[in-house]
Amino acid sequence: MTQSLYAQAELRHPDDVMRLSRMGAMFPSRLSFLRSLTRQLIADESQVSRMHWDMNSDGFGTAVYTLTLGGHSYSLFAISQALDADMRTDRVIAEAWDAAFVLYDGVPDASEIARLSQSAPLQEAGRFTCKDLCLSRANKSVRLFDQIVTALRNSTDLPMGMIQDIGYLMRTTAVYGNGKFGIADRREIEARPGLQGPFMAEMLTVWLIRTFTHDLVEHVGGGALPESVKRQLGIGNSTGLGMAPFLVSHPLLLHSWMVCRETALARVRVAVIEADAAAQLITLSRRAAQHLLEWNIPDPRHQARIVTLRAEWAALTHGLSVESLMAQGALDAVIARSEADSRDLQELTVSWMLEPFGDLVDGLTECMANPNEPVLDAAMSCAELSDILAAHCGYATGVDFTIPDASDQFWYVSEAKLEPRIGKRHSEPGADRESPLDITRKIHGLAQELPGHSGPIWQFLSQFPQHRLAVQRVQALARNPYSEIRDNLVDGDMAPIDMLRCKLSFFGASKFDPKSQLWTRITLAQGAPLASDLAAGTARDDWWLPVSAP
Amino acid sequence: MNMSSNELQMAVLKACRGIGLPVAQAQDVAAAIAISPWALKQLLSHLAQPTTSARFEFSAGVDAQNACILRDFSTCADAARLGVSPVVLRELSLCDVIEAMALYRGVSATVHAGGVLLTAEERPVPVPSRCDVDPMDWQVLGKYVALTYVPETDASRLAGAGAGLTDND
Repeated sequence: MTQSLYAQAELRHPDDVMRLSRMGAMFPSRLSFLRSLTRQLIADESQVSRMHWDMNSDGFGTAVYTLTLGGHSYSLFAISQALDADMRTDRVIAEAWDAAFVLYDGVPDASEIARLSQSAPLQEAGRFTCKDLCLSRANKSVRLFDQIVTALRNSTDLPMGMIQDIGYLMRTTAVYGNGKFGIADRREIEARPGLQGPFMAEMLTVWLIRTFTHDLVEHVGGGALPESVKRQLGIGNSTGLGMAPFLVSHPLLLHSWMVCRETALARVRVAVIEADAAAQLITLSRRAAQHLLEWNIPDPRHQARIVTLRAEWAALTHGLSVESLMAQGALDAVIARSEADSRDLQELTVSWMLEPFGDLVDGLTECMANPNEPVLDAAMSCAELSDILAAHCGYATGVDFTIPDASDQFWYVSEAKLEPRIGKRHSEPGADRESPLDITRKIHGLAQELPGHSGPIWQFLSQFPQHRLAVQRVQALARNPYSEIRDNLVDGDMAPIDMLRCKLSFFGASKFDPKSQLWTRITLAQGAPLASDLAAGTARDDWWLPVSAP
Repeated sequence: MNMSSNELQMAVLKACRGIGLPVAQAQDVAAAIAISPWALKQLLSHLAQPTTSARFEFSAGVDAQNACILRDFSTCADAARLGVSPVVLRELSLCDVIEAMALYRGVSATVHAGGVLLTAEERPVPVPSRCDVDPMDWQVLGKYVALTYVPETDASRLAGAGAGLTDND
C-alpha cells in the first residue's frame, strides 16, 4: 500500500472497493477530472476568446474558441449543421449530428478552419492531423433548445423546470482522443502543464463545447441568458458499452485512479476538522439533499435507488452540527454509520467527505495519470505466482466456471456497426471472436493450469502461451491491488452500467440517467464556472453535486 | 497515409487478435510495430501464415523448434533478457518483424546456425509519434482486424447495444 507523509487510516480493501456493485454507486468528487480542470483553469487565469463566429440566424455555421493553458493555446472548432429528425441518434452508429467539434492545438487559420469544416462533420469517416487533439460531436436536446429559443425571442419566462430536469442544451455522443482517426497521440501532449492529468484534453473539449452551446442558443434566440441559468446548463453525454473496455484494458491507470481516491478518503478519515471545514460539510450535506431531490429519472429501478438514497442521506446527516463534526473521530464515525446502508449512501458519503479538504486531497490528482501497462516478471517462479493467486485472486479462483451462467455473456464488436456489444454465449453466435474482457476467467484458467509446474514462469509460458496476459495481470495485482475489477465480467448477472458509472464519476459526471443496463445519459459540467466567470476572476471550484437553487 | 502511432498500434493489436494470437503477445507485436512501423509490410505476411505448434528444449539454454514468431518471440526474449544462453529459434531467418520485436523487447537477434540467436541488448528505442503507412497495407491489416468482428443479427443489435434508434428529445 502507498506510504504517505500524511496521517491516514487504513485504505478500504480492494476486495470491497473493486466490486461492480460499489463501482456502480460512485459519485463525482473533487478528484474528478473536470474538477481538476476547473482548478487548473482558475489557477492559470485562463481566458476564453471567441476568435471566430460565422453563424446564420438558424444557428448553422462555424465558431472557434481559444484559450491559453499552461503556456499553450488551444482552440475549440465547432460546426453546427441542420439535421433531419430521423438522423438524430446518440448511438455510435450515427453518421450525422447537430454539431461537430475538434480541439485544435494552437489557433487555426482560415485554411485550417476550412479543413476542419470539411473533416469534423465526418467524425469517424474523416482523417485528422497531429494538430487535432480531440474529436467530438453532439446532438441537441431539441425540446429544451427550442423552448429557450422561443423564450428568448418572445422575452417570456425561461422554462426553468425543463432546465432543471434536462440540464443541458446538447449531448455529446463521443469524445475521441489519443490518436484515433489520425488525431495526435496523448503522448504528444501529456507533459504539457494543465494537460498532464487523465482525459484533460477531453475535459477541456467538453467544457468548451458547453460554452458553445450557451452562445448558440443565445444567438438563435436573439437574447442573453442570465449567468445563473447558464451555470445550470452543463453538457450532456450519452454513453454506451464503448466506454467500458477502457477500465479493463488499462489496469494500472485504473489502480491509480482508485488508489488516489482511497488514499484521499484514508487521509480525511483521520483529519483534524476545523470549524470552517465542518461548516462546509453541513452546507454540502444540504446541497446533496437538494441535488438528490432534483435528480429524477425515468428508469424505475434506478429511481428507486435514488428514493432510497434520499431517505438514507437524510437519516445519516440528521443532527449533524459543526460541533459534532469537530469531535475527534467524527468523520470516521459517520462513515461507519453509512456502512449500515446502501452502497449508494456509502459512496455519496465518501465524495462528500473529500470536498472540504482540498489541501489533503488535491495533490493526489498529480498521481492519477499512469501511462504504464503491466510488464511480465519472467523470472518469477511458478510457486511465487501461486502465492499471489492465493493472496489476491480469490474473486477469480473461486468462480465455478462449469456453471453456464458464470460465462453466460461475452463482449464483442459488431461487424456491421463496429460498436461494442454484449451477447449471450450459449444462444448467440460470435463467442469465438470474443473481446478479451474476461480477465477473471483468464485468471481462473491460469490458476487451474499452474499447479504441478515449477521453475521460472517464462518456462511455463513457453508451454502455455495463452496464459501470458493472466500472468501479467496477476503479477500486477500484487503491487497494484486496485488494478482489476474484482468481479466476473462475463457472468450472466454482470451489468455494464456499473463500469460506466465508475468511469463517468471520475470524469465528473452527475445526474446519471441509465436507459438500460447497457447505456446511460449523464450531465457534465453542470454548475461549473463559465468562461465569463474566469474572465471576471470570480470562478470557484465549488460545484460538487450542482443544484438549481443553491 | 499519415497516422498516429497509437492508431497503428491499436490496429495491429486487433489484427493479431484476429488471427487468434493470445492478447499479451498481440500487445507485444503491436507495441513493436508502433516503434518500427517499417516492419508492417512484413508483418502482414506473418499474419497470413498458419500458427504452428512449437517445441521448446531447455537442457542447454532455450532451443525452440517450429516457433511462431508472433506468439513465441516474447517468451524467448524473456529468457534471453534473464541471461539464459543460448536462446535459439530454429529454422527461422532474420526479418523486419524479428528486428522490430527484438528492438522493442531489448534483445539483439543475429543469424545462428540454422536459426536466430537472441541475446540481451538494451538499445535506445525510438518513440515515433506519427508514421506513414501504405494505404494498401492498411487495407490488408483491416481484413485481419475484421476477423475480430461478429456479424450482427436483428436480435443482437437490439439486445446487445441497448440504445434507442432516435434521440429527438
